Amino acid sequence: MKKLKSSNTKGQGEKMKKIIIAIISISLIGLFVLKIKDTTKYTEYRPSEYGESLLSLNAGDGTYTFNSFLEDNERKIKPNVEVFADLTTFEFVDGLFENDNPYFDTFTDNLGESKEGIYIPETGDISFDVIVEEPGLYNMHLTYYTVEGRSAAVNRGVKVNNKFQYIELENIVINRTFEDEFKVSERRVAGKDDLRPKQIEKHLWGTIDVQESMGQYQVPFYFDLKAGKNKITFTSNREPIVLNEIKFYQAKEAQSYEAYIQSYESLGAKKVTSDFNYVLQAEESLHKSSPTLNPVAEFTTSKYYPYEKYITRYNAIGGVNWRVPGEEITWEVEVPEAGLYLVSLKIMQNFNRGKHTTRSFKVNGKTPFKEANLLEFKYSSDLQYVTIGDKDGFYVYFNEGKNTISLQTTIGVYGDIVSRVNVLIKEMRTLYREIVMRTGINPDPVQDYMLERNIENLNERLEDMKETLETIKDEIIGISGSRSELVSVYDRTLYQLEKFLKYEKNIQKGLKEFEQNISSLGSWVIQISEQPLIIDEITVHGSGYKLPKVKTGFFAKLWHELILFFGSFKDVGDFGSTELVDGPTIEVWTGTGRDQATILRQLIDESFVKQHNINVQLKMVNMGILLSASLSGNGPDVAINIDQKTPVNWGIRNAILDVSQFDDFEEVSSWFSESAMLPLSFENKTYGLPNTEDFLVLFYRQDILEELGVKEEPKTWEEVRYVSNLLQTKYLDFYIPVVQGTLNGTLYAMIEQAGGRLYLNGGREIGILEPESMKAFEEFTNFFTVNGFVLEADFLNRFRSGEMPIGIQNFTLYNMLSVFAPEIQGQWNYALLPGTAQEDGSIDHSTTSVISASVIMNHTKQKDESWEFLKWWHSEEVQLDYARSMEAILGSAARYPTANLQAFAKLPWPAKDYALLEQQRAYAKGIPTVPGDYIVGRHIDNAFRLAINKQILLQDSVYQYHLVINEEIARKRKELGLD
Amino acid sequence: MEVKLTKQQKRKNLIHEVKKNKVFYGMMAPFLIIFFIFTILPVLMSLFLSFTYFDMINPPTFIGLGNYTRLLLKDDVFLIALRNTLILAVIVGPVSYIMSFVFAWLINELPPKIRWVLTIIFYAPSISGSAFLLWQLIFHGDIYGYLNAFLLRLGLIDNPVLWLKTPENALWIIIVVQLWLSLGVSFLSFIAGLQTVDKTLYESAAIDGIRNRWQELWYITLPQMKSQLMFGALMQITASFSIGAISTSLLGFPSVDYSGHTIITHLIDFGAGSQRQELGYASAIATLLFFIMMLANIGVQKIISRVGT
Repeated sequence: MKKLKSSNTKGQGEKMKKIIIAIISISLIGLFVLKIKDTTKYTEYRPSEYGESLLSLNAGDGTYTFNSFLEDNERKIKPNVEVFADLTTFEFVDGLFENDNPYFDTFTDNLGESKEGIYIPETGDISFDVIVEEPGLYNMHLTYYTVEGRSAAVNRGVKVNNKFQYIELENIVINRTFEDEFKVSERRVAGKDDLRPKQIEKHLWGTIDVQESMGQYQVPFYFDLKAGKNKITFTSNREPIVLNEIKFYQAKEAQSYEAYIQSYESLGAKKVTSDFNYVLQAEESLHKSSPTLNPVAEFTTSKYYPYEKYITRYNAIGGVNWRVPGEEITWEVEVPEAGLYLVSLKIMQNFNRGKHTTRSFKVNGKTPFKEANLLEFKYSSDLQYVTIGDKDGFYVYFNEGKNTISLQTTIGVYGDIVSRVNVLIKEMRTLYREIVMRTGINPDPVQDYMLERNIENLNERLEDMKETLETIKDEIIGISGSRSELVSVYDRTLYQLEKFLKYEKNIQKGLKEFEQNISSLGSWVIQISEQPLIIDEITVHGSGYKLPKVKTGFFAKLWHELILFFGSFKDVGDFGSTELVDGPTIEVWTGTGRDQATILRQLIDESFVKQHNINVQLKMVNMGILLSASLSGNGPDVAINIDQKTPVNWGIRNAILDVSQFDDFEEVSSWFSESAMLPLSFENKTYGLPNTEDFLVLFYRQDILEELGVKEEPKTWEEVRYVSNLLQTKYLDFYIPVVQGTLNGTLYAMIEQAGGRLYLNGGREIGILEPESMKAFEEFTNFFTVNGFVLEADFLNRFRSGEMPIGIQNFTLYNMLSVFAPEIQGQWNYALLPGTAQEDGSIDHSTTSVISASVIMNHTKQKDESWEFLKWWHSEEVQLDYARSMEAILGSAARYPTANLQAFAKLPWPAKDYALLEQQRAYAKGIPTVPGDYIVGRHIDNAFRLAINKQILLQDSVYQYHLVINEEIARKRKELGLD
Repeated sequence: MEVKLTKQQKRKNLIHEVKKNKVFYGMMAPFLIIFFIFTILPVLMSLFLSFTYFDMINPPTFIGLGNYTRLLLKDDVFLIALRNTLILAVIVGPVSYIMSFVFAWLINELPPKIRWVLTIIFYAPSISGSAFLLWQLIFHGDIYGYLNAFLLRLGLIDNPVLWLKTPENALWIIIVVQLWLSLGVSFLSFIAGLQTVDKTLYESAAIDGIRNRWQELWYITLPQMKSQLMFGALMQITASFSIGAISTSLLGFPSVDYSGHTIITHLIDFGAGSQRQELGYASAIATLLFFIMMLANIGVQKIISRVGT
């Protein structure tokens, strides 16, 4: 407009020209404005930056990874001076436990070494000052003592001047040390199964250059310190630790093999050329970083040493338990004179076809040469000898006498790829979620959802994913040398992305497969980062020694398989004891699996039989036959691991002993929470002791909730409804478990929260019609009728994929998630079960607890002995030993939710999680067991379903069913002669 | 005196006969002993227990007809179970029986190799044990259940249907799954029966004036394989009266509002291993079921004896 006006003053011909120019310029401006409008809607697409770090998955915006940090600080000097932090003055904040504070003391370790140090509790952040004269990059060296804690690896974050300089610093791992209680061969008896040595933690003083624990980087971490005062903060993730010294200096870099050999040869060391050999059975290690690294019994070929048919011989170490990067095993070897020796390992790597398993190698705690950082073991279905080094082998210098060698799992060549795939998975999941938020999980194949318009940079993102996948695929082929099965998931995903790019509607058609492909990529990552390896023997030898043959021929193999086949007919249900005393014998039945029974047997032999002078016959039995066996007089004295309703139901029929008659019952019952004892008690009698206790908590995905603008997890049911509405606008759901035919745990918790009662009159009547209970029941039903909650769903999988980012489950799901869903590690959390606001403004978070129990059968002739056994089994030490052994063998997925409170406290929980669980346990409520209660859950569920299915008023359906329930309870009580 | 004598004589004769044929009795003994211990004895015991109150822990107490009066007069759930069982038996029994026969007849016409393959295909569901659990996936109430996903995709429903948890659906789901399973032993015996029919009979019948395949079927084929028909009928009747496992594993135990409750599931509810622990009552249910099956079998035998007339 302005331009048009100004053109009036000019000549006519010129005017035309001006008009044209003006029109053009206006339209250009217009276009530009439009363009601006366009770009304001969508920020320009930038593919997320890959930081080449395993942890970049958790990276916030603008956070460095170690690699990018090094790149940016390349020119900074690395002053060759040593600086120490001042440990005497510290600042401590945010501790979760009041009586757990830092203090100075002298700590003596298990080897008798004494040093002064500052104790840093498991929760809370502690800061020290370090005064630096020459600014620049430094390595950090810690002298630490692994003080007693929960037996998990110590984990700390390190902040410099209140900032994580790169994300790897959020998780620094310091391993603890464990050793076998005894050498397997020491207690070996001919013809009998070997005993598995208990794993004992050694609390030791140690030193470490702070570095990444997965083995992705070859150098220790660098810290950028400014001149003057720097504040070093250790943020708590897990476990307490004692620090004696924090040193900043320049760590020595490992030399190459050639330099290594030259330096030793110039000192006069000689390569050993004789046929000297020192053979060490690898199962007899000196120490290891985790109690899961037990000796294992291998049967796959008869060439393992020692090997005996039909008998469990612990003859090797490692296997699937030795797969997580960072885990280390150390052995002690002995040589008669100092010199340069060869080291050969007798190994089995039949785990990953087409893939190497990698380890790093240390001698006497130090990396001898650079090449030792990455040893590769290739796949073979048979045992193999691997000599460390290239074709001729690398010589390693050993001092005269005892030396240690260590092997540590590292992620190897795939480390880099794994981290990139993790980033990619995260992006694909985000995209998947964004699509689902538009289309729902089951989109219409023909409807136009206008995805391209509604989802920011859809095509560019797909294009970018495709490119990344292609490069990664090529790299994998480059590493593995061929198109193995390793890349099939890439092919599949690539094909699908191409289809998506070709035609938009293919996206909604292939949505489900897309989700599956993302999951397969997740499994691929797990598979590739795991580095399992079995070691049978370690041989230190001279070059003249010829390694024996370990390959087995066809007939030897056949014979071996035949023997295994016949061995499988051996009776395995009876766990015979190795200890026998003169005392009485009790029979114990357990309904658990083999591993559990084996551990139990061993614990009994170690710490029960002799101490109490009682023999124990342990049998692994299907608990369904307990009743019939007792009826026919073949039942046990003690049964463990039975469900929570059996004790009372059989107890009132006099089949199970009332344990409250024993004098020390009061003391024993104080080991457990009240909620755990409640289901076992009826009318002042108690018919058993609780083994495990599990209760409901709220699981949620932080990342997704944040995306949706939910800052905090819902604290009340009111907030649950709010969050659920928010989720549903995006086709996501809140999960409340509904199991048919049983009393719903969430419902019971809500009734308790509202102040209602399930039973009145000591179990003579159902209390569901009470106004408080009814209010809770109505609120519960409304979730499904009014708020449209899903009645049936596979929560674990939907939680992984993010379709159900929040839901209620028993806390043992924690174990499952931490093991089977590593791709969402750090993105989920759990919280107290949502509660009901009380009149005084507080919130009642009551939750429902479920237990399993141990009982003494009434027909036993050894009452007191059985009670001794029960007390022993439920005691803190035994429960803790049992739980730790279970985790040692089966991994952290098998964390045992013991009901013994003291033992529970010592399990390797992160402190924050433990604090939350204890907080929730304080709110836990057991479900009372009363005669006729089988009908209760059944008909409450029926009333609930009637209200949902037929839109009948809940009160009406509840009223109708409550009559039936009361009638049945009365009948049952009469039948049992209780009234 | 005379009567007594003959009685004694009869006994003597019997002992004599037994002695004479001791080899045969000896050969039958293993089976008879096992049959007696594991079949007859339990039936008798359950008959006895049905007149008692027995919780498997304390010794049984005699309560006369108490269990039966409660079962028949007071137990509403038993009536539901009885109704469901009868509906299932009336529909599943005959339909599956006819299905078995029709399929066997059709397959019998095919060349041997194809017949062999088809036989395996049709018989597969019933040999593969709990393969019917796949129906759990189909009828799953989740949005990911096959049927739900399919119907949602077609746009026929807006929200996932809880197929297995809605009382209206319970019976027809059991019927569908049971029919799918029903080409079992009777199907095989029909195929065998069809192959044993003497081919020359058809020829002579054609000469005697049989006009079409139906007459051939009715007057020649069926009467020729009467024993297989009888065997099939007994199996099918027994099977359809003892439907229970399918209900439990598909609809849950107990099914919502007892919608899929059958006599068998009702029995399980009271029997050993249940929390009710009323074995006497369970025995009464079992006895009743036994008599219902007997009646049904007699009826079926009557019907089959009329085949071909």
